[in-house]
This record gives sequence, C-alpha cells and structure tokens, in this order.
Amino acid sequence: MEITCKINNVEKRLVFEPHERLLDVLRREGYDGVKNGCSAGDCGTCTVIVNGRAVKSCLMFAAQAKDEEITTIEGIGTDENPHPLQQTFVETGAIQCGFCTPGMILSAKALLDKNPNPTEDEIKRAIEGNLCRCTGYVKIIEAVKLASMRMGGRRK
Amino acid sequence: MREFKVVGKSVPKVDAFSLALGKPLFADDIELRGMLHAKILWSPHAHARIKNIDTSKAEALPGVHAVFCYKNVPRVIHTSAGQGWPEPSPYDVVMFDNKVRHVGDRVAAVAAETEEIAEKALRLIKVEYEPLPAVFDPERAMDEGAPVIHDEPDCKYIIPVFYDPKHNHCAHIDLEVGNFEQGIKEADFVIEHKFKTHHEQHCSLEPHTCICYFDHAGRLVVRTSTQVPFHVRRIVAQCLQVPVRMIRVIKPRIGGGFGGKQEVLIEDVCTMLAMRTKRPVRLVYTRGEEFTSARVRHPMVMWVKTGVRKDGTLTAIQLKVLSNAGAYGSHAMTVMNNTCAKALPLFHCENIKWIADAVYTNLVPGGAYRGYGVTQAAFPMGVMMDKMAETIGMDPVDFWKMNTIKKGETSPIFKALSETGKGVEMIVESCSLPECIDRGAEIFGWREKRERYKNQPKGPVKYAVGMSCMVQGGTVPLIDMASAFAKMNDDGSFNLLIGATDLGTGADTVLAQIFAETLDIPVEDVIVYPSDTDITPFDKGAYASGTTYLSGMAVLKTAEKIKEQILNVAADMLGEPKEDLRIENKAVISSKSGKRVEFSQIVKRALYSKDQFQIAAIASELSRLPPQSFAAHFAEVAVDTETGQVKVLSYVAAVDCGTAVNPKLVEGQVEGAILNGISYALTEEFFFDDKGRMLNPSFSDYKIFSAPDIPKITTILVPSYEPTGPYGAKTVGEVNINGPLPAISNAIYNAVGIRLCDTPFTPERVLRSLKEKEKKGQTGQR
Amino acid sequence: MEFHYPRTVKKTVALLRRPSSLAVAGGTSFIVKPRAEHLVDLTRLELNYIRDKKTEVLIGATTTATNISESQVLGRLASGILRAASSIMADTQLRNVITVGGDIACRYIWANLPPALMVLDARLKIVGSKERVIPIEKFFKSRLQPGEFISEVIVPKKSTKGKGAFIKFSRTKSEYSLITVAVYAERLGKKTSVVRVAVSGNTPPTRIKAIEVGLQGKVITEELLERTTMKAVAQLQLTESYIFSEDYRRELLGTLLKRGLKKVLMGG
Repeated sequence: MEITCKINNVEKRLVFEPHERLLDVLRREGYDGVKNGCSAGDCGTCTVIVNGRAVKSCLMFAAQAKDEEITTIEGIGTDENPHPLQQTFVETGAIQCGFCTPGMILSAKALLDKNPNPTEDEIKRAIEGNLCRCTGYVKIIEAVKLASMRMGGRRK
Repeated sequence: MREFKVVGKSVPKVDAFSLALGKPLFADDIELRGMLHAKILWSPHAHARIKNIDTSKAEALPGVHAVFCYKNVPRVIHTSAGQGWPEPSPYDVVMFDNKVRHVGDRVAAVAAETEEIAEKALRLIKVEYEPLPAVFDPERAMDEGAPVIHDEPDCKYIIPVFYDPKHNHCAHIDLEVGNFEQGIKEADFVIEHKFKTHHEQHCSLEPHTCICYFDHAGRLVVRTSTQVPFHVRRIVAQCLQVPVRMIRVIKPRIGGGFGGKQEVLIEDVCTMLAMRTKRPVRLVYTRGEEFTSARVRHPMVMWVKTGVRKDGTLTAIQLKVLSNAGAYGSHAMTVMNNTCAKALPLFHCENIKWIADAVYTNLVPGGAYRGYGVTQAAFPMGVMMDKMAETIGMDPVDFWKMNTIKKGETSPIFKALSETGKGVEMIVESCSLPECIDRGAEIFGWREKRERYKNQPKGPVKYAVGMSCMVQGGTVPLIDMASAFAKMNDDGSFNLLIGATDLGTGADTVLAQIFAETLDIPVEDVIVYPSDTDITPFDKGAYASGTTYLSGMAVLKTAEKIKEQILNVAADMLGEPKEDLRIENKAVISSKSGKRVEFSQIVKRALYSKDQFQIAAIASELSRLPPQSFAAHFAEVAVDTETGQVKVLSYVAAVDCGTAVNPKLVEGQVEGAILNGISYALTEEFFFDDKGRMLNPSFSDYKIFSAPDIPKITTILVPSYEPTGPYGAKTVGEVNINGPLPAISNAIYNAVGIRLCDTPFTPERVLRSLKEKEKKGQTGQR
Repeated sequence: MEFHYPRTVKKTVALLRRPSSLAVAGGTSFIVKPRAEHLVDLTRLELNYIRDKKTEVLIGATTTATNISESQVLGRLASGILRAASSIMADTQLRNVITVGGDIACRYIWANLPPALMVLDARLKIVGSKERVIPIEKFFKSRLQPGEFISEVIVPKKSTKGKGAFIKFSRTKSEYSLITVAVYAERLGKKTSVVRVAVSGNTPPTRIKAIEVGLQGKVITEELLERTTMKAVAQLQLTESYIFSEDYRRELLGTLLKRGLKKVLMGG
C-alpha cells in the first residue's frame, strides 16, 4: 500500500505492506537514527514524534502515519545548526554508547515543546519509556534541564 | 597531584555530536546490495540429542540461500569466550552440534532474501530430538548419576588446568594463604553465612549485530558489535578453518557491551553463511534472543566464614564458591578466579582460604559481565563486614577503614592468584580508599542519618542507611597487551590508530586526551581511528577495566616516541641541541634562545623538504600488574514492611580511580554502574520453568530501571596517583557495580533487621524474611 | 491484508463485520504481526473527545490516556481517579497512543482504566448493527458481536461525587500493573453510603462485591476494614503468575485494598 505523510517537514510517499511497522519503514527509507532495541515497545530507542507527541514507532503500523507529521532525530538539527538538546546532551556527558540517544532526545523535545519549564519529575516522566543502560540517567536529566534553560524556560 | 592541560578536563566525547545527530554509525546502519538475512533455530529442550534434522523443505523455499546444521559445517571445537590465546576457557562449543545443552542453544541457521523468508524457513526445518534428563541446580550438578552435559570426547582446556566434564565439573581451584583454622582459633567471634546471587543480562540497548561481506580481494569483512575485534578475527578464522589473513574485523560505534560483547556469539555463523553463499549476510539478535541465547552473569552459591577479634582485627576469611557456568564454560574459570583474585585483596587479613568450583548446568551459559566475579564476591564480603562490625559494636565505617588495604601495602592474594592462574606480586602504590570512606560518609551524612533513623516514623515504611567498600583490579597481568600507532599530518594534526575498543565508554576520547596531553596539542588535532584489524595495531579489547590504564600507556608511549622525532627535526631546523628544546602549544621552543618553530613547519619539513620521512610511531604496553581501583558506597533505603518493597532513596559513591582523565566520563561510568547494580539488586530476575525455559525474555518482564526509578546519585572522585598508569590514571569501568548488592542489603538490615543473603531483594523475599524474623522473635520471647 | 481508514461509524461497522477484521486504535497491542485480513483504523472517526454534559461525562473511545491524564473535567471526578489511573499506566510514549477504548477492548489483565471506570459505574456505548449501552462490568462478562466496537465511555456524574483512590503495584514505575486497586466511596454522616471496589492484575478487571456489601452503611473501623477485606480476598480466584507466589499476591492485594479503602474512608 501507499500513503503520504510529512517526515521532517518534507512531503513523503511511503510504499509498504499493510502489516509493516513504522519503525521498519522509516529505517528502510534511510532514517537510521530510528533504532531497533526490542521491537516490543519497551526500550524507546525507536521513538519518533508524531503530531507533536512522542510515540514508539515499533508499536505503530506505518499505515497509521497516513497524513500525519513525523519528526525523527534527523529532522531536528544538523551539524551546522544542532537542536539545543543535541548540544546539551554532548556537553553534559549524557551520551555514552548513543544507541538510546535519538529516542531520548525526541522524548525530551516533545516535552520541552509542550512544557518549556519542566520540573525534574516531569523530565523523568517524559523519558520513562526510554531505557538507557550506560548512564544511569543522571546526565541525561541534567542535559534536558540545561536545554530547557537555554531555550528560555525558567527553572522551577 | 600534577596539573595537566588536557588530562583531567571534561572534554566532550569525540563521537558524541555525531551520535546526538542520529548519524548511521552502528553495525546495523548500513545496507548492502544483495544482502541476505540470517536467522537461527533454537533448541526448545534443555538437554537433548538431535537424532536427525531434515532441512530439505527449508532449503527448497524460494529465497533461501543456505541452511546450516551439524551435518554441513565443520566441527571445530573452540570457545566463544573473547579472550587472549591460549584461552583460559574450555573448548566445549562447536558451530552446530548434534546435541543441545540449554533452551536457546543453537540448532540450525538460515540465510534468506528477507528476514520473513528466513523465519519461515526455520519453521520448515524438522528436528527429531531425543530429550535427555537435565540438571539445573548447581548444587546437584556434580552428584553421582547427574546427566553429563559435555559427554563429547573432544572437549578440553588448551591450558593445563583441572577439568572433569564427566562430572559436569568445569573448573576447580583452591588456595590458602596463612592458616585459616589458626585464624579462626584466634577470633573472638566466628560468623558463617550462605549466600546466593542470581542471573543477570547485560541489556545493551543495541542487540548483537553482525554484517559480513567480501572486499575487493575476496577477503571476509566482519562488521560487528564486539568488545574484542582481534579475538573475533582469531576465533572466526579458527571456526571457518581459514587463515587469519582472510578476515578483517571492523568495529563501528557499539551500543553498549558490559561484557556481553566479549563473546564471539554470532560472528562464526554469520561469516560462514557469507562464505558459503558468496553474499553479504546480516545477523541481528532479537531482544528475546539476548536473554535466552546470549550470555549472563554467572549465578553463584557462596559459603563464607570469618573470624574477628573484639578489637576489630579480621583474623580469618574462608570463601567457598560454586559458580553456575550454565551449558558452556565460557569465562567460567576466570570469573570464578576473580571472586578471590580481584575481590579479596581488599581485606587486611593474614589467613584466607578460598575453594572454588564451576559446574555445567542446562541453563543459559554464563559469560563476561561488568564486575566479572568480583560483583558476586563483593556481596557476601560486604554483608559479612557489616555483620562483624555489628557483632563487635563498631561503626561499619571505622571497621572498614581498619580492615582494608592501604597505600604501600600488599596482599598475599596478588601473588597467589590472578584471573587466569598464578598472580604477580605487587605493592598498592595508590589508594585513597580511607579518604573515600571519610568523604563519602560526610557528604552522604552517614552519622546524622544513622542517628536520625534510630527513631523510625510511624507507619509501615522504615528507613535506614547501609554501606560497603569495594575494589577491582584492572587488566590481566602479564597477558593483556595494547598498542597504538600514530602519524603526523601536514597541518600538525595526528591520526591516532588504536586497537582499543570504545563501546560507548568514551575510550576514544580518553585516549585522545592522553595523546594530546603528551604532545601539548588540543584534542581536536587528534583524529582517532579505532578497532579495525586491517588498520589498527593489536589491542586485547575492552575488558578487565583495562582500556584507560593499558591502552592509555600504549598511547602515551607512542606520543613520546613521536615527540622525540619532532624534537629531532626541530633541533636541526633551529640549529640548537635537542636538550634545550621543549614542546608547547603545537610548537617547539628553545629554552635558551626563545626561538620557536611550529608543528606545521616541522612536519612540512619532514614530509617535503629535507631528509624526508613520516613522523610516526607505534608502541605497545604489556600489563605488569593489576592496578587497584577502590570505592566506598552509601545507600539510603525505605522498606515498606507491608508490601516488602524496597526503594533506594539516595546513593553516594566515593571513588578512587587514580587520575580521572575525563571527570565527566568517569562520573558517567560510576552512575551507570551504580544504577545497573541497583536494578540488579531489586528488580532484575530470570524466571525459569521446570523445563529450564526462561519465562520472561523481554524488557516488559525483565525489569531494568528507567528514569523515574532512580535514586539521587552522588559521585565523588577522590584522586590518587598511580605511578604505573598514564598520568596517574587507573581504571573505573567495573568497580562501582560491586557496591549496590551489599550496601542495599546492609541498609535493609538496618531498617528492618533482616539480613538478605539471597538476591534479588524482591518484595516477596523481603516480606517472607520479615515474617520469619517475627516468628523467631515470638519463639524467643517464650 | 488491507488497511482501512473509515470516516463514518456506519462504514466502520460494515468493515468490521467482514470476517478476519480487526479494529486498530493506538495499535500498541499488535506486538506481533496480526492474523487478520482487514485492519480498520478507528482514529479518524472523531472519537477523541471528553465532553462535560449535565449529568454525565462522555469520553470518546479513541481518547488517549494522555488526554485523560490532562483533562480538567476528569480531574474533578472522584478525586481525579481517572487521571490518576491514566497517568501512571505504561510510559509517556505509550500513553500518547493507548486509547480508553483499546484499554478496555483488549481485556488485558493489567489494564488500569477498567477498574477505575468500574468504581465510577461507567457504561460503554457499543455500536454495531444497532447501538447499545452496557455497564462496563458486563463488558468483561460478554463478547462483542461481529461489526461491533466501543465508541464511547459514559461516566455518570452522580456516581463521582465521593472520594476515589487508585493504586498500582509494579516492580518499576513504568511496568504494567501487577496489581491494580480502585476504590470509590461516599459518606453520609459517620457512615458510608456508597462503597465500590475493583481490582485487576491478579484477576481480570472485576468488582469486589463482598467488600462493598461488607462496608456499606457502616461506621468504618480498622478492625472492620481488616476483617472484610481479608475475607473477600481469601475467596478471590487469582490467575497464575511466575513473578510472585499466590500467597504473596493475595496478601499484597489485601494490603493495597486496605490502603485504598483507608484513604477514601478514613482520610489516611
């Protein structure tokens, strides 16, 4: 089957089998920042933003993305112009192996877009669906706080 | 303490920015034309003979290019443990066997055009099993008449050590230093306990991933998520029966390892499929396979007996260890040895006896896991220390300080045993553990909290604190070797080619810092290229907390050799003796004349103008001793006495890793290890049914912590200076995973009076122990 | 296999009447490839709403858990029990797609919303060849007919004036509920006038009438709570679980029920 949707602000036509998951279709289309850590909705490495909300693309049929707006890690920043979260993740040491990072950053972005001024608990809740085995989450939380400040949120 | 320009600074990880942008850097992020997808058929039985396999239907399925089983691959007995040669693990595994030894053991493999076809083909393979009796309990494995798991005649060690597979006896060593019985006689109190630790999976977010293809010369290129590229090359060549020169192993960015990728787990079959089909082949584990068909932390049963005098003198330690190796003996002996070799040097005690056995069972095989045996031993020892302190009425903080090794001291264990056998004598030349204990206790508020929690609040939740100390020696002395190569470019930048394997730990960055420090250049001028067996020199790989210390020394030596070459050219250019010249800010300056020549001028002269040559160097470093890193951990817990649930509220780790080359990365290592340790202590658990099948092979049922579960974690780095390490650095990768089990167990005891000696500390176990205590208390009152 | 995007209820019903068809809302239940010929997307039917009516609150079936957890209207009902239930289920990404209809229709043993809805006496509007409204409890004792799907949840306001409490027990915060307890109660003077209790996790979502009857119209004491709860819990049929023993789960269920009841009945 075939649908159109917007990925990272570009109109896209996607062709796939009706049973295929958004995760697999996105990877096939070259969005390699979408990772596959469990295929079961548990680890969050496949997180993308659909219509402003973070979702797990392994638990979503690609067909469900029809006419929707999808944002992947490739769509939020570039070498020249990184997203503040990408910058603060680097600076705070929030990235070790980096496999959870794209999903983690997208979950954090969905939070900050809605709530520029989150509390520590709100940050923890926003990333609760993203597992990380390297960092113990300490520096990831720090990175989100720092980005929120840089993006103009007042710290509570 | 020396001051440095680059070392000791938290420069960002050299690969962090690319990772933050989500660039395709991992093993699975490439797509090759004509690539086939491999899938493996797993045993549903814990122990069975394969009477026959019929693969004809699978082979006939359109899109299937190869089907492997024991009938059509060479039988090469080897070990999948990614260790140096000769491997200190038994040769007890083949690519495919006519016998399966655990649920999730390999039976057959398929390579097909798509994953779907491959999966379909697996369902078409007909296997006739003859189920055999199985043994799951390590305490029953050596019983007379127990099923023999490795009855194949060709299993063996290739080094001279004890091995008795006919009795499932995978390894045995014992030793005694001093006189244990005498030590017990000298004690005022003797304490004995039995402890049990459980299975644990590494849970790297990136599953095991391997893509194999041919290069222009017809050689096999193995792009794989490994901690040990050079061991992969050697073992793959062995399994495929091809020369090492036919194999090139490339390690791209790796999504976490923690020991799980110190195993040649999938590369043998993936490369074999590529070799036979002449097509690129991709093999990626599912999350479920990570649980059932990868490796785990060895569960252990431990019996500990200690003697202590009223004045706090530790007179005797006896540790008996029974390690559950599972179906294959990968890392079984070395992990077992570390329960003594790398765990017991911590203690001031003249009389130590240690008896250890590893046994085969029909469960998922053990392997390397961060902590590598020390985690297992640190638990009983940490609890025993707490109990001894309580028995003699001493604050644990004081008791630990009194009974742990100090700078300038040695332990008889160093000489008696190493991971692989005989050890090396050494003096501990750096140790800030006493300061770690003091500063940790102060920042944690140890004494205040102990005082405060003497009065518990009303209600079902009780609070308390607990502590423990730990050590972990780095590297395997006289065996581990690392090397580095560097060359200078036109602009004064350098290519640094290292065999060391960054798994996400930040090794590339730390090694670049050491290189930059030595040559007084900015880190940006060091272009790190890691772990490609065609291009980089040998390194043993990322294990035994060895990279910063050992690979770091290799890098430092390489930089020093380059420095000599630079100074030689500069001396010629300036017409001044080398002795008057020094390196500073990418230039050579004469202390006498004040004249200066830039690195870029020096290298241009060397490459283009006079006596042309490439400024380049290679250096190796052999580990002479295992540097000891220390930590003191403090945990504050809340125990719900109605549900049994334990919550860790705050956690402080004071760590001595020598010089922290990159403090932020060190903190990251500490925080990650602690949280892994806490969720292992509380929620991670393998459940097996009575047939040996794992019931919870997924992240929804095997629970690791996510962000809302974490306590407040504080890391304190208490520097020391290790003279044998690069700029005083030691190691930090593993030591901190050894703290949570004992620290939390001790805290639970202080909260509700139960000593948990079996892990994990689940709500049910806590509640049951509380009830048992209540019952005993009642009987006592009568 | 075919994926359908109906825009009307009528068309949806027609599609779902076909053999081998499955309704898709959030889609999170399809961890493995579904064995169906037709997947029918319910999210384009404008069923994502929370409407505050005079006597009831209407929740459209494809309203997500996130929507519920953020709803001011639902926050005012029974101490915000629905907000509590929806905000501690699963994790952020899953709450963004899990729908109230799906959480009921999938009949998961760990589902959080059904027990909370049960103690509010919620009803379900089910559309199919004809429309019917049934109490949510009845849903768990019956089946949907071909073509039928849940289109709306109706929460009567009169049964939400009292206090509610919701407790989830799990090993980590984002784990599915191992035990869920929902309690609702109203008081008249010193005595209780209404008590409703529902659980899931150890059992399919179910009301515990023995507790409700035992506490109705009573002056609540610790002793009465203890006796009533333990007796009721002893009689429950628990499902199998390898995580904890049955004895432990039974005791835990009693503990959590008592905690929930104390919270709404004794303010602690």
